[in-house]
Amino acid sequence: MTEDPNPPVDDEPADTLPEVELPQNDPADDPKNDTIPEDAL
Amino acid sequence: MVYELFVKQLDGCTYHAQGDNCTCACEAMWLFRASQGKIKTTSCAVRTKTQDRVDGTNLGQMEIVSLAAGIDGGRVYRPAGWDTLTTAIASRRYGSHLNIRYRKLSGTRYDCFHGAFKGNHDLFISGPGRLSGTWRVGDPGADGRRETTPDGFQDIPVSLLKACAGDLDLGGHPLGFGRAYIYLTPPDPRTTASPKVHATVIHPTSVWNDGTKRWVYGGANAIKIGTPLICRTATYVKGNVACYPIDPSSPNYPRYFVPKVNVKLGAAA
Repeated sequence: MTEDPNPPVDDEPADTLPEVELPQNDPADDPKNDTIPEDAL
Repeated sequence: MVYELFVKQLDGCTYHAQGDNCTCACEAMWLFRASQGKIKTTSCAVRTKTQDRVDGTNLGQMEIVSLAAGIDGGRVYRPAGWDTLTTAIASRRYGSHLNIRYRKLSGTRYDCFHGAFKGNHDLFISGPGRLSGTWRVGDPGADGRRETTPDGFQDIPVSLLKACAGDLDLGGHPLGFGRAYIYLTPPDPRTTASPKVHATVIHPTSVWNDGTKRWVYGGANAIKIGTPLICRTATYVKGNVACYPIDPSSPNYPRYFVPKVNVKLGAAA
C-alpha cells in the first residue's frame, strides 16, 4: 500500500464561525416557543 | 472536558407557567456550558430574569439573559445554514440552542410530550452523540415524569433534528429546510495539548489516517524500525487500537496516528 492520497485531518478545530452567512431575519421575527398543553405535562 | 447539565422546564416555577419555559431551561443548560460550569441555574430563574410573564420566550431574550450573566461570546443566528451548526457541534467545542417545531418529533421515541404537543420548542445541543449520525440533545421536557417519558440527554438523529429545525413556524410559514435558528455558546477553551516527544518505531507499523479512517502503510510498505517521529503523549483509540498522534512537526508521517505498542517514546521534542 502506498501513501493514502487523502491527507489526514488536523484534529484542532477552528475557533471562528461565519459572522454572517445568510441574510439575517429581523429580531422581530424571533418566534417565542409555544405553550406545552396541560395534557402533555 | 465538556461541561454539561440537564435542566428540566417543569420545575415547579411559580413566576410563570412551566409549560412555556423550554427556552429558559435550555438557556440554563447553555449558561452552564458557556461559563464552563460556573453558572448553575434553573429554568424558573432564567424566566424570572426575563421579566416576561407572557407566553414563551425567544432567543433574543436569552441573549439578554446571557449578557446580564457576563457571557458575551455567544452568537445568535436568525438563521444559520445547517452546516454552521454541524461544524460547530463536530468540533466538540460548542453547545447551542436549537429552535424547532415539534410535530416531526411527536410520536417518535424521543417525544417528551406523549403526542400532545406539536408546536415551536427549544432544544439544547451538547455535542455529537455516541452513535454516528446523532447529536446529544437536552430536551427540557425529558424529565422522566411518566414511565414513557425520556429522562435526561438523548442521542437523536441529526437528520430528524434538521427536519424539525427547518419546520420552525415563523408566523404561519416554515423557516425552510437546511436553515436553523440557533444560539451558539462561546467556544470551549482549548485543552492544553499533551507534551511533544521524540519517538522511534520499534516494530514495523502501519499508521492510521484519520481523514479516511483507514490504516495505511501496511504489509511490505510498513514503516521501518528506527524511523524517527515526534508524537504527542495523549492516547487516542483509532481503529480499535491505542495510538499516539504524530505531531504536525514530525519529520515523518505528521498528523497520522501510530499504535503505541510500535513506538518507543524518548526525550521531549
